Amino acid sequence: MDFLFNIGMYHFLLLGLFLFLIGLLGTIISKNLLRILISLEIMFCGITLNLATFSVYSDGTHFKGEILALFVMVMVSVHIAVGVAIMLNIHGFKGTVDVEEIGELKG
Amino acid sequence: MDKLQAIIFYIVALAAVVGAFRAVFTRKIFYSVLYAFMSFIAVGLLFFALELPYLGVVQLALCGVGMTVLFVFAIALTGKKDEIISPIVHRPRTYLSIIGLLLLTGILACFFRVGSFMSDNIAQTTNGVIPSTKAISAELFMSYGAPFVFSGLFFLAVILGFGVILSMKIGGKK
Repeated sequence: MDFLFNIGMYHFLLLGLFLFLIGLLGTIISKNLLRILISLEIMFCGITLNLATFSVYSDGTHFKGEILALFVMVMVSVHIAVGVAIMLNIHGFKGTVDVEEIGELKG
Repeated sequence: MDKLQAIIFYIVALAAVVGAFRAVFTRKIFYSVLYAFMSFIAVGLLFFALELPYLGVVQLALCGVGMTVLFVFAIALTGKKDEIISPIVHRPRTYLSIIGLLLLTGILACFFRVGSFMSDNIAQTTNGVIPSTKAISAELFMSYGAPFVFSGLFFLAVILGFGVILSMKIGGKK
């Protein structure tokens, strides 16, 4: 019971781990390109949560980890935006966003 | 944290996990985006629970609202009915992946040594000092000014690149 009601670092890390694994699962099994991007975003949410947790619990007074997490968030948003742009272009070219149908690398 | 805060944490954490799970497994892609939105908002609330309001606001604004709007527009632009309600998984691969990820979770949980952080809390670890938003802003604009400006310029370049990629014609269909 003490573990359940005394929320600490471990709880946040476990939650981040769950989010990361669910995102990884979605990235592996999804066929829709947009769903893969959403899964990637979920994975990065888990990563950012872990970064922030480590920042708070290990270096709470210097918040270097928090700033790193901030930069990671911006980079993730940028990656997803580029991914969506490429997806829209592929849809215009192939007429589908199914990864099995667009799985040819040859141009 | 007392019991009430613990219960709130569990509710928000459950929303994050359920939202993420439904985002992956919901059949309709639009509902998938809405569940992902729920998950992002819940993670943003968890940043507030960690006494990190700066990150919480960025998470809500950028990953929560911004990404959701982007996804919704992407659905609207690729909006053929058979794609919006498309089959999402390969069954054998799904079951194998779930088993593998459960094993991975167990291994990683052992790695984190269950219970070693049970009695931790933020105020104890940081001797009661919680970084304020003002202090973080000062640090961001002074010590980390160069990377902050660089990432801002990078973000601007990507927004421009987004438009360029969309306007490109990659062979084939004109």
